[in-house]
Formats: sequence, structure tokens, C-alpha cells
Amino acid sequence: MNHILIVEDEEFLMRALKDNLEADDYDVAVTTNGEEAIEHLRRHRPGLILLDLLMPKQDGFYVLEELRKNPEWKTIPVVVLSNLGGDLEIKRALEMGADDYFVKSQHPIEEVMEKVKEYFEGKGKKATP
Amino acid sequence: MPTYSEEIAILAQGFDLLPDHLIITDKNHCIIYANKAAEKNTGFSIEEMLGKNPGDLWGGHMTKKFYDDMRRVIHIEKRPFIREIKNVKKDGTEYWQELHIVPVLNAAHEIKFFIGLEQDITQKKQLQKDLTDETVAARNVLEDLQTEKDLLAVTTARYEAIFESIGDGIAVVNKNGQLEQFNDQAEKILGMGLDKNSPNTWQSTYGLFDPITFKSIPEDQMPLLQALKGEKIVKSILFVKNQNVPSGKYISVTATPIMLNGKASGSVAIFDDITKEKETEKIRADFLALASHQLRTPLSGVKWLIDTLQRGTLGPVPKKQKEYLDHIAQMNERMIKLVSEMLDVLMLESGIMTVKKEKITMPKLYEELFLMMKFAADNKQITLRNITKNSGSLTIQSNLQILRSVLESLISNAINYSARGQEIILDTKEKKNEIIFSIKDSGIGIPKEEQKKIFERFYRASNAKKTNPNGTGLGLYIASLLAKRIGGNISFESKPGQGTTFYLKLPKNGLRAKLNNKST
Repeated sequence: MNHILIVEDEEFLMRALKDNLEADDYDVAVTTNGEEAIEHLRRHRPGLILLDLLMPKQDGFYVLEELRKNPEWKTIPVVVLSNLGGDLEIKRALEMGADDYFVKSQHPIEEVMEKVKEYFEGKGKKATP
Repeated sequence: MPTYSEEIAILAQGFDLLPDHLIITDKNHCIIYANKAAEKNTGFSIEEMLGKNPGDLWGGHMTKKFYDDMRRVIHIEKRPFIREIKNVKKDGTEYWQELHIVPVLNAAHEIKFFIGLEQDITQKKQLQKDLTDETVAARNVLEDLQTEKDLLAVTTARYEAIFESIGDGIAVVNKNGQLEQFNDQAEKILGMGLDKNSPNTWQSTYGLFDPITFKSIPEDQMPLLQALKGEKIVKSILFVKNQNVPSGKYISVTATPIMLNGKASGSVAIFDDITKEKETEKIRADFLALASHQLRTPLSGVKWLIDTLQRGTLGPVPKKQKEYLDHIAQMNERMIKLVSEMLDVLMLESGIMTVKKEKITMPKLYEELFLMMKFAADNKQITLRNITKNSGSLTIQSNLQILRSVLESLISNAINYSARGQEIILDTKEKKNEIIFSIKDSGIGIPKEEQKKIFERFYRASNAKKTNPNGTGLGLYIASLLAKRIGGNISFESKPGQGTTFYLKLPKNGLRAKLNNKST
């Protein structure tokens, strides 16, 4: 099961990710804030989470915190996609359990796609179905 | 030989034994007797003296008043006249005597004789003169001392006024590192008075912490004590928190050694409360972070949407349309880069207050650099070669992030302006007080007439524009600001068409300038 959860509040970014992932045969679910994301997790367990940081209602850091607290969710790989480029934010996200961090404006979507592939094909932390 | 009466002849023998000049005159001052000492004293013989007036021989050299006084005393008052007199010997030598002229009276109180006794006081006079001279000299010295003292008082008063009226806190330590003086402002800022004990009590008295980690500052990193060792510390930032400053304050400290005869006899620190500036800086930094995020969001949106189209995700793309998409993507990249660099410039120009420094080892630095630049280098089949010798032993005290940023910028330029398959050579040389990084490429080089301008904001060399149309012209400007921030500078050598070597020179000991460093 190649289920990916996207947590992103900007519609066209979310669309771009969804379209590309679906073209590569992934099963994609979309939520637009932290609260929705946790709700979704209670019902479906994704193999990978693509997580934005700045979102209304509850942000990406909240999601990371919740993931860390739950032993069931701790093992799900998380790739942070954010435009917050400061070293402090990157450090903070990684310390809170993010496995990777992309500054969106600095990487072509191709690289994100390749990284997703890596996680599903078993390099490092495995995206468990 | 004169013939005296018998009594006088007997007396004369005694008189000849006197060391002092003795003469006897009649009531008209004609000499009727003189002893041997008188002969010796005056240089005249008895034969020359007899019947003559002393005033005509060795005397007569004083003022009219002198003789008026003498006449009055001995003739009218008929008393002894005692006064210092200057005579002239037969050979012309001047000499001082104490003169005693005594009138000898008969029973009828009439003057019969005068006895003239003179005692040599030349030596006494000389001693008197010497004493006067010494007194004058001593008085001069005293006057000079007084002038110096007054000057010192003025200077001291001036310094005290400065000390108290200056808006910053001032703290002074003696050569043992103990605090000796605080001005009022120092106490106000720190919330605590002068702690005269040794420096190891400062932490518990004042509460001094690192402004970023909030860990206690170790004694050897207290600016006042570092200054005592001869180092000048400029604008070091500390966080102060104690029972009188419960919410904490940020202070900026500049400390200088007090030099006396080439050694530090103490040190003085000036500091002020920069909490407000820090807060403003934080607000500004937060604003810039948010602004950069807001600017990047639509740009990354465009980027990914175009990527999606170009990848063919939404279907095949006809050639002409692909071309348009490529152009849009390129323009978008330019915007992204421009936004990023302009934000960097804003941050740099507003002046970051704390630049943390740490010990950086070359192997680690180069490892990170290679990791970052490998992708771009591989894309153009460019080889990055590090020829640094003894890399393992080289360390530098500086800010890793900034240093890496500068080197990445220079390497990135080298890659952008080199042709496919070329080589870029990295080297690090250690000098006495500095480390020089060099990045050498065999690329397009910089035209001579334009070399002066390449560090200017937005400037792009003409050949660079052709090779890499998407550059912003801010790269070198930012790199030079960053280099300056860590105390270094960037220079280069270039031959158009042959290549360029960029140099980054950094002081080995990081951001601080040493004062009495004899080797510089």
C-alpha cells in the first residue's frame, strides 16, 4: 500500500504534489492543517507524510509533536516541505523528528519525487505500508 | 719697625697671635698699629699702613649710607659698629669681613682711639650664597610640583566627571583582576554594586550568561579579564540576570587593557544596556523571516506547477509550449534567487549583533563544502580538487555558517563560469596570524576594466551576463559583507579567458583584535 499523506495549506502546491504522486501510482490523501492531519492519522496510517510547517489551526510543529508522542506513529517517515529557510527552523524540525527537510523554492519537484521513491524503496527509514 | 710704647709692645705680641685682623687707629682713623693677621688679610705691610686711613687702603668700597651709619654710631653714639664689609686687598681681590669698630673713650668720654677687628666671613658668605641658591632651587622644584599637582587635579576632576556623567556603565579592575571601580551607571545597569572580591564571585553576584545558550560565562571569557591579558574586546554581548534584574538584560561590553610601561596594570570595560535594540532586532528578524516565507510561497508554487507541466504529468507538452515553459521557469528561478539574496542583504545591512564563533577544523569544513557543491559540479562534469596540505592540523576560530556561505558562494561562481569538464582547485594556506582560502578556476575570467566593480551591488561583468544570464549581481556583494562580518576580506586575481583565483583571508583567532601582539 503506497499511501501518502500530504499536509499543505497552499492549494496549488498541494495540487502539484498530488498530481505528480498520483502519476507515479501513489495513493494520496490531502489535509490542509495540523488538526485535519491528526484526524486523518487516527483513521488511516500513511507510509509517508509530506508536511508543510506554516499552516492555520495547528502547524507542522504540532503534527511532529503528536507523531513523536504516539508509538504507533513514531515510525512513519516525515519529509518537511516548507519555505521557512532559517537554520533555527530546520534544526528544530529535525530535532522534533522530521526525517528530511526541503525548502520548496530551492528544489525542483523532481527531487521531492525522488526522495519519496527512496523512502518507499527502502533506503534508510522505510515507509511501512 | 714702628716703635711702640712698652705696654703696647707687650700687647702687640699677643695681638700678633690673633687669627683675626686687628688694627688700632687714632681718633682721626690714622692707623697706629696693625697685627700680623691684618697684614696677611689686606696684603699691605705695616709700613704701608702706618699713618694711613683704612678707607684709603683696603676699605672705602661700601655705600654712602654704610659710612653715614658708621660715623653716626662710632662718633656720635660712641658705640661699637658691627657690620659686614667688603674690602679689596692690595692685589685687587675682593673679600668679605665682619667688621667691628670699637671707639675707646677716656674718662671724659672723649674718643681717644678706634679698635678695628675684622673676621673673615668669605666662607660664611659663600655658604650663605649656596644656601640661597639651594633655597631658590628647592622653591622652583616645589613650584613645578605644585603645577604638576594642579594639572593632575584638573585631569582627575575631568576624568571623574567623565566617569560619572557618561551614559554607559564603566568598570575597572586592578592588575589582580579585582573590581576596583564602578560608576553609577554600572551599578544601575547590573543591578548590583561593586563586588571587590576575586572574579570567581562575579557569576554569583551579577549573573553573567552567554546571550545565545544562556549558559554561565566561564571566568576566562569575561571581557574584563581577557582585556587584562592584553586583548581588546569590542562589543561582546552578555546576558545579565540576578535578583535585582529578574527578567534579564542584554549588555554590549567593550574592554581595554590599561597599559603602563608596556604591561597591563588593569583593565577598563564600558558597557550599555542593549535589550531594546535586541528586541528590535528580533522583531526585525522575525519580520524578515516571515517576509521571506511569504515571498517564497507563490514563487515555489509557480516553480512546482511548471515542473509538473514539464515532467509531462498532465500529459505530453508540444515543443513550442515546452519552450515557453522553460522560459517561465527560468524567470521564476531568477525571482527566487533575487528574493533570497535581497533578504540576505537586508539582514546583513541591518547588522546582526552576535556572530557566534567556534573552532572549525579544515577536514570538516571541506567535507561539508563538497557535499553542498557536488550536485552543481557534477551537473557540469566539473571536478572539485582540494590540494590543502596538512589539512588535519589546520583549525580556525570563526563562524562556521558564515564561512561556509562565503566559500560556497565563491565555489558556485567558479562552477558557473567554468566550462564543462574543467577543474576547480581549492587550497588553504596558513600564515602567522591568518588563514587564506583560495578557489582557482580556469573559466571566463573578469575583464580588466570591470574588475573594480564586481563587488558592487547588482553589478554583473559583461562576459558573466552572457555565460549565466540568470545571475543577480548580489552574490559577491553578499559574500564580501559576510567576509567582513567574520573579520576577513575577499580579493582576487583574474585573466580574462584564462581563469580567476579568489582569495578569502581570515584572522586565525576569529573576530577579536589583539593589542600588544608583537608579531603583527
